[in-house]
Amino acid sequence: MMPLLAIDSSAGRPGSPGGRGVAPMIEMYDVSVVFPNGARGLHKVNLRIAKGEFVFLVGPSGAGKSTFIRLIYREILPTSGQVYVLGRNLARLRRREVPYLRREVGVVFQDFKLLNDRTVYDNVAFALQVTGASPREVRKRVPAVLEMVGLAHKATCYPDELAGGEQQRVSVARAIANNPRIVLADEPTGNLDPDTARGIVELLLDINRLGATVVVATHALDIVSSHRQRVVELRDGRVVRDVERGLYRRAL
Amino acid sequence: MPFRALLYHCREALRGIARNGFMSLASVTTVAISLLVLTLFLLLGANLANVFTWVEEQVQIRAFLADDLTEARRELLMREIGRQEGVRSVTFIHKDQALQELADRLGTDAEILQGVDSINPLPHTLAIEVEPEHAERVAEMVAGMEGVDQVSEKGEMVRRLVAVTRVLRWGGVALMALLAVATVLVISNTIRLTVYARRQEIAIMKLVGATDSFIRAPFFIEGMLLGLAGSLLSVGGAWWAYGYAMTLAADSVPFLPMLPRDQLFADLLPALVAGGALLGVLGTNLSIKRFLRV
Ligand SMILES: Nc1ncnc2c1ncn2[C@@H]1O[C@H](COP(=O)(O)OP(=O)(O)OP(=O)(O)O)[C@@H](O)[C@H]1O
Ligand SMILES: [Mg+2]
Repeated sequence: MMPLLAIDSSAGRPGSPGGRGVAPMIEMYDVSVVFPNGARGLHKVNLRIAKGEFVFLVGPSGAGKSTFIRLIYREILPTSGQVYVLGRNLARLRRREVPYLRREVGVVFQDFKLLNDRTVYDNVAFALQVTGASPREVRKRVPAVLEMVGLAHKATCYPDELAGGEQQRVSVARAIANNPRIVLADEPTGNLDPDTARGIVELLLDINRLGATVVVATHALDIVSSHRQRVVELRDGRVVRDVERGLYRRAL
Repeated sequence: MPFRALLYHCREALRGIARNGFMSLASVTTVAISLLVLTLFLLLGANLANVFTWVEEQVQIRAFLADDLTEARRELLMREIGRQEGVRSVTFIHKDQALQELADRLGTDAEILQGVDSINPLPHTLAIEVEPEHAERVAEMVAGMEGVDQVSEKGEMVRRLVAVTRVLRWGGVALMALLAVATVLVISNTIRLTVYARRQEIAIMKLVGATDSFIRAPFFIEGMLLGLAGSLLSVGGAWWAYGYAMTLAADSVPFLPMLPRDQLFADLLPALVAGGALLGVLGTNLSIKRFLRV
């Protein structure tokens, strides 16, 4: 049986700026984002995230968390500086190469973004079908990821028949359907009660243990501090703190 | 493209057509009307060209000869005319024969000629068959010849017909261009609605890494299907209209030759169907460029 998330066995580049002796999955060098209206999204951000890391991205509203996430799946490009994902300079990536990058990067949002006229199964299958997977692959893969997120028994339900937490699990299942090496989550627990939120973060940690590099932007500081993972804090578009496996306490 | 992808795209395209049924119907109708007008113009053009060659074959100059012309002089005259460029043949028509022809042409009205046959006011005539582009010059030359009283030339009619055809052709081209533009716009609008209805799916497709061409394909198929449906409708309409025109023509202008329907449509059908599909693709292209920045 195919592993749920393939663990990338390619050797890390020795002496590469991963800093941890492992190949960097995400690298940012002096990255600034200025929006057309003049608003500053990020300002001179330097950051490396290595393969297999789990990173919490925190900071007050407007700090630039979403901007950071959107850079990684190339929804936007930096105004200046360089973003590398899986060793590729995103500014140099041609338009027709972007879809192939995105198959390596699963994204989860606060509002789930599910298709309400399709069942749970079809929502997950959709991600595979539109990237050219064969029906055989779909039949094999969809039950496996639904099993992983604990929703195998809800496969035939429609999204509006599910609780918020369950809907978010569907969206996580869709994000990992293509077996991505990076999983991004932008406030995945924003609409959920604390217990459900914990469940979602646990799920993302499971995915990380299976080999994916995971970045989670969140406001849920209690969850952050209880997990002792790397925490990057943004404020006004700058990285103001980068705590390795730290207890996170609000710097106020 | 793998077969299952094609299947997927077709299903999505049909879903799109069903989703905005009214606009789909509107675009099919517009395509049908545009192509119908276009087809009718083509049919008219083809028939005019046909009539034109038919008339062309009839181009004749008639030279009415002086009564006192001797046979020897007449032979000389005919040889002289026969040497002219563009002249196909020169035939002598005796005045009695001319009268007979006139009587034939008049048919039942021939009785007005009764009593005339003993006198016969008609002149001896030379019928000169000539290529249309030389008709005018030859007519002028013949008119200036000794022993020729008068010349009647039918080339004038041909020239007028050519002028009318030209106006019709350019008018038709302009009208067709306008209709094609209108069709493309309506199809593009329909596709835009589908894109709008599917914007959520499109956003997710982009997010999970579907390629641009994969995202666009169903819209192109949808546009093509709309164009195809419209063109088939228009061919049906034109088929019926042509049949009707043929019965009308058979009644009122039976001497005019009309092209047979089967042959004509067999020639036109592939072009029309391809044209409809092309308009659909162009319309999709327009809306995709403007509304589906993937
Ligand atoms: N599309 C945009 N156009 C203009 N300004 C924007 C845009 N997106 C974000 N910004 C601005 O960039 C800054 C960072 O926004 P961002 O969405 O990254 O913050 P955030 O940390 O995700 O906030 P929140 O916690 O509220 O989601 C803010 O000042 C915001 O107003
Ligand atoms: Mg945000």
